[in-house]
This record gives sequence, C-alpha cells and structure tokens, in this order.
Amino acid sequence: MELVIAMLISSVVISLTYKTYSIYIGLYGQYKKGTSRVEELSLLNKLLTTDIRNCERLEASSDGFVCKSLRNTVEYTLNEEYMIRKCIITDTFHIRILSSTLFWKDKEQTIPQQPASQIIIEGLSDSDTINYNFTKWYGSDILIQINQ
Amino acid sequence: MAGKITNSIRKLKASSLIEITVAMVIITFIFTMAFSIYVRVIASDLSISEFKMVKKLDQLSWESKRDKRFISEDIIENNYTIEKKITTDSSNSKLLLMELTAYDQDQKIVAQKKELIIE
Repeated sequence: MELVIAMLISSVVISLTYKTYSIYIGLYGQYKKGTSRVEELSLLNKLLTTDIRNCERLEASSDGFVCKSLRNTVEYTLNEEYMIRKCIITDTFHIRILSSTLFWKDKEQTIPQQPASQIIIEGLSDSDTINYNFTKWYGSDILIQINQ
Repeated sequence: MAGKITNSIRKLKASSLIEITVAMVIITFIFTMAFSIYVRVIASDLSISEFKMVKKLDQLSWESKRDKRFISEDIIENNYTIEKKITTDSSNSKLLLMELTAYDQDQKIVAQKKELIIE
C-alpha cells in the first residue's frame, strides 16, 4: 500500500516537473524570438542614428540612400524584403520596407546624389509596422557648399 | 549474519507521508515564487510594442514640427493613447516644451518623449 502511494506521489511530482519544464521552455522560446527581433530593430535604429548624425552629407541613391563623410561612406540599400548596410562590412536587416521617402527642405528628394535632410522609412517586422524617422542637421559650411 | 541484516533494515528511518506532503507543499511554494519573479524579469524587458511606440513618438514629434501643430491633444493609435502636451516658457513665449506620452489600455506609460522647440 505504501509503495503504491509512494509511486503515485512520484508520478505526480515527475509529471508536474515535466509540465513546468515544458512551460519554461515555451516561455523562453517566445522571449528569445521577441528579444532577437527587438535587438535587430534597435541595432538598425542605433546604426541609422549614428550614421546620419556623423555623416557630412545624406544623399539619395537609386535604391536607397548614402551617408557620406570624409572618412567613410555608408550605403543603405532598401528592398521589399530586407535592408542592406554596406560599410567596411555588410549587414543585412530582415525588415520589409513598405516605403521610404527622403526630403530636402520639406520637399521630396528623388534625384540620386542630391542632398536630403529628412528620411522616413516605414518597415514591417513580422506583423508590426515600424516607422523610422531621422533628421540630418547640416553645419553651415556644408549648406554653403550645397548651395554653391 | 542474515539476522543482523534484517535488524538493520527494521531500524532504518524513513519519512512519513505527511512529511513528504509538507516538503512538496514547500517546494511548490518556492517554485511558484521563483516562477513569478522569472516572468516579471522577462516582462520588464523592452518589448516590440514599446519600441514601436518610441518610434511613433519620434514620428509624431517630427509631424508636429513640420505642420507647426503646437497644440495639446490626445491621439488614439491602435490600442494606445498618445497624450501631446505643449507648455510655453514663462520668460520666452516662443520657447515651447512638447511632452509626448504613450499609454496602453491599462493607462500604463509605454513610452515618453520631451522636446524643447523654438517656434
């Protein structure tokens, strides 16, 4: 009798442990998936912020935009399925680009190699729409160069 | 020899059912506490909805500046409410403080942005 009860208790404990383990694994899987998405989007946000802030000129290109400076040039290629950042190394961000618009003095800039002061990118990650909005603040020396 | 073994088995101490049950209850209690802490730690991390709202506030800030729409208002965005509050500096009427706060359905702050604007 005691052995049967001990076995029953053991089976309850084992099944509870397994159930808890499977819940933990499921939760961790969801957490990992969510954080990797946020990590990728945050990294893209950080890179775009620093590239646009540090460049001397933000220019439109045929398939995206370019951040030009004396030291290096960072080229962004926008695609329906992903975004590519070409610098010393090439990075691919898995974000679907729904639309991207460049502006110069509140007017849309579509001509390649022409300067832009504002960029708006609408992307889709899984089912979430993310809006990236950046302003390039130019120094007066660069503005004089552009206007010449 | 065999008799000695039988005696030692009879003297062996074991836990009673009540002791085991009490131990199980304590273990379950500790486990529940640990689980709730784990869930709270995971929930405190930046979620995709929070990131989305941070970027949404950036966009709203830019749109307000572009359209020169410097008025306090509430904007409904999916399940979130964005409160836009504009206050003027007492010493300089052209200096504005724009505060954007995004609330979820439970009125919990999801994202916040403050910006000084010269009109």
